[in-house]
Amino acid sequence: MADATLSPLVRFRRGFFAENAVFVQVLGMCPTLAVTNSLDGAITMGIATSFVLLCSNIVVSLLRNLLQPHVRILIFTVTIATFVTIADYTLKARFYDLSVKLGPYVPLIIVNCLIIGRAEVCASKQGLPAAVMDGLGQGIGFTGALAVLGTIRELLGAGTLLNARVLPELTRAADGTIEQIGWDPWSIMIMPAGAFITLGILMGLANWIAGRRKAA
Amino acid sequence: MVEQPERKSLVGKYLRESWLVIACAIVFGCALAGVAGATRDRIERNKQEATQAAIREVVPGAARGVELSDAEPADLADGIYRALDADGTQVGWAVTARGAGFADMITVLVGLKPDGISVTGIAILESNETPGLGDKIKSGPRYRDQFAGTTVARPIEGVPRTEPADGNKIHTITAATISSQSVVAIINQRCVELGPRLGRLAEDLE
Repeated sequence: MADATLSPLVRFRRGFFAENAVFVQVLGMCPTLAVTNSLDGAITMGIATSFVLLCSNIVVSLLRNLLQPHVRILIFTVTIATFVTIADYTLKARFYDLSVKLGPYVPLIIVNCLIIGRAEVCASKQGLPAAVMDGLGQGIGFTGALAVLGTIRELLGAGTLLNARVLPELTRAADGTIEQIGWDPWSIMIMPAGAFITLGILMGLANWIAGRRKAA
Repeated sequence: MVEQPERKSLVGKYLRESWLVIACAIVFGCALAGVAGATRDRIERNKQEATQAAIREVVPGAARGVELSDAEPADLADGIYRALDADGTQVGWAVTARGAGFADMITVLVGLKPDGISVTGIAILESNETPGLGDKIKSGPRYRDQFAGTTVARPIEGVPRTEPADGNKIHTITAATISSQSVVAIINQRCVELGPRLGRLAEDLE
């Protein structure tokens, strides 16, 4: 994986599937599990993380020839923390409702291992084009993975997508008889257990597909 | 004296190795100061606007809320808003009430008529209840709508859906009993004693 000669295009493409952040590298699990109970939260988190990842990749790549081996992690962290704070303030100023919804998980992007991982694996070893394409590819792959989880969990757990009702609501009268037939939400899907179950199944599916591709 | 040159070279060594960290800290620090300065007013406005929107929601006819920031005694100064209509006439009160829920603290905004005891509506300003269950106190209007028409002249009671909710009772949410009872308790704790005082204050202010 730590190949410093990969072309920008390969870096970009690998982020989607071959090195997908969530399903293959298994990085960034905290936001993957915590904010995917609704699609809007998942997409916002994906975009915010991608923004930080792209910016940090650019800065680290530009500074790569000045990095001292034993203080490089410090530089990565300072860089990431700066862009996370910028993203946090921007969300609070422009998308206040979403920022309230994501709560502490936006500042927590700082400790998302995906970002520091890409700085270490790619940006600190390769030039700007590869670092930019790596940030974009990984960001899209991460956002896509979160969006898939968010879609499944919100649809099954609440019957809605982006807060709009998709599956008709099941209503019951006071004595428990059904008034209107509809989707009875699987509450477990929007709770932590649902996150683990969905992630496990999707990861298994991704591995199965990867295995079949390899065999073919 | 022998140690002197060695120490000097050590400082030089540290500086050579860490200058980039120092430079980054300064540059990024300035950048953050810029971003914070540029967004601060907007963020503050967003917070106030969220409260104002909630006040309009819980007090019918209200156009804005003015906090009793310099009221006497001091316990009236925090989180109590006079709800005014477009002409500046008082149409009610909006009172923030805070207390423990199931998962975390819940902040409720209670809308009251000018008499201070008739509830016109409630909104949940902050909560962290279980998604899909306890958070229905916020997302399900069915629960919140019940509070309009109750009174805090005496405590509100929460009862399960199998019992009739007449008098000063509301139905709690099935599978979210603690969250929905907490909201009732938070409102009672804050408003039962406070309500009549607000009613008198409204008369004084007129």
